[in-house]
Amino acid sequence: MITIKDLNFSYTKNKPIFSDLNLDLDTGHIYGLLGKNGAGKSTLLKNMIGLVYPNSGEILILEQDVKQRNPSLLKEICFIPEDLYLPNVSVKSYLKSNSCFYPNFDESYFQKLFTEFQIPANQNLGNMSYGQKKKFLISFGLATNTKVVIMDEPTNGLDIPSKAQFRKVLAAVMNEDRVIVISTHQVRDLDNLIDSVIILDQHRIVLNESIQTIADRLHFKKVTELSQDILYAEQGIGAYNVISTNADFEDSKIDLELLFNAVTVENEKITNQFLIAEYE
Amino acid sequence: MNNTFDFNRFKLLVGRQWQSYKKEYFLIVGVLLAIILYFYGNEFYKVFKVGDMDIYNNDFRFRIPLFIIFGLLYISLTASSYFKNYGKSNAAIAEILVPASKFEKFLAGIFYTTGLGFVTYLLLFHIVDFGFMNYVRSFTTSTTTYVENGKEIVRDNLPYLHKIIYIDPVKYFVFLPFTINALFLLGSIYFKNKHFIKTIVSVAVYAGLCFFLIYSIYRLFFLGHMQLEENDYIDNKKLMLFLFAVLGWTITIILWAITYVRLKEKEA
Repeated sequence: MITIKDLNFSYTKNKPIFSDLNLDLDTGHIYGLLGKNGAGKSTLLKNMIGLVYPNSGEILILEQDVKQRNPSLLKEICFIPEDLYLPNVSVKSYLKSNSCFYPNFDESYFQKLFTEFQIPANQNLGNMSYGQKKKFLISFGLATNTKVVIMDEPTNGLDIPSKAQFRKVLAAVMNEDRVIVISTHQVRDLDNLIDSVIILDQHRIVLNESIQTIADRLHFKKVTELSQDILYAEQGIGAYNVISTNADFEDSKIDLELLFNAVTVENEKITNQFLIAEYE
Repeated sequence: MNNTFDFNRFKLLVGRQWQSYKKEYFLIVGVLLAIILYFYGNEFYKVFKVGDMDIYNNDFRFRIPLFIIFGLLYISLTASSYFKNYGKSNAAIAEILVPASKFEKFLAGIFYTTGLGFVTYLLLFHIVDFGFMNYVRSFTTSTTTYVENGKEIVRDNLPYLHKIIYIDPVKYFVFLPFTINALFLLGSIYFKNKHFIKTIVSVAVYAGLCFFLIYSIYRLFFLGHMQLEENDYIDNKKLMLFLFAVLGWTITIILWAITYVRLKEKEA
């Protein structure tokens, strides 16, 4: 669905952001794009949908070059940026003038999300708070029923009930024809939601694996004493949160935050586990 | 699906732009109307204060400079703000991702700033002019009759604006509002902010450079080598004006083409 081939991108000549980056994203998956501030998450998303142009390389969505920004492709892309912009018009007016561009727009579903998120109906979009604007755009974006949904820090600005609502809604809209990419630095917000993890560190993809593979290869647990087989450990309250090799194929709940820290701190130790798996 | 131009999609795009533009549009129309009314009202006040059209001898000459200067200002202001959203990253994202082609987005810009903009301006001005002049003509003699070479000639002293503006040589200058539009439309996509001021400064710099270049070439190669007869200009006046108009339209089309390319390459 989304193919990035040999992407080279930089804002200035001497400071490349991405060098020969390759990535394939398939339908039927919710990808979590994780990275620290400034890792290049937003830039990668902008490249992905043709908002910025790469220095070289190719990015295809639905086999179309995103650089062309063709209407036939744009009507299949929903992008929720971190920095929102909504014109100062009423909800009704926004719907009337924007929904018509999306042939699969589902107004009843939009109304359902609108009610669930408790967005004020009689308020102009320009006068809404950041959180309300975000909820409005998420509702609108998901109701467009596009094949590609890309969200940049979608949980920023959402209150706690809305974050839970967001996870519920997103899980419900997923289907085999869609691909959803969510970038965030608040990894806990994506717990139990994503099925693949992409970690970006220092402008490189350092991990790109499905949750299933991660669970097969790594074991997440709490221990009071550290042993030799531990790949990464963090001091918790009264115990260590650790990641070890999952030699016995034990089930464990993936701690995304721990995984993220492990990959960014002990990158080789963790990624080697997947290389070994591929080799085997 | 045609990815370059689809009439239905263009119609939707024009409708979308209207939803966000209509407040601004009515505000502009209101201000425009108020300013035109102010100038006409002010002139009428002078007429009524004196009380006699003949004594005052007013033929409302203020209308032509007002029409031209205010028109150019109106055109440049509306064009310089059309693509302003592309200068702000978050608003540019919203504009770029609208599922319409770049050509349709460009055409919508031309439609709002020339089509709708020009028609609005002309209509407002002529309706106000027609109303005021009709009123004046209702209570005063608007014509003078005199005999010249045995022929009786009737001169209209209080003509409507359209009768004094749309005269023959004007057709050679029709490109001018379009050129101004093209210049400021380009400025609105080229600069990130302060589009109006930056466009004016850039035009002034370019115009200065061009003038300097042409003058230097003239001094270097032609001064003292060529003599222009006054008759040359009179004989070829129409041709000169025609060439001038062709040059004007060419520049306008080039500026629109550059605007389209800038719009195509715009990043968020």
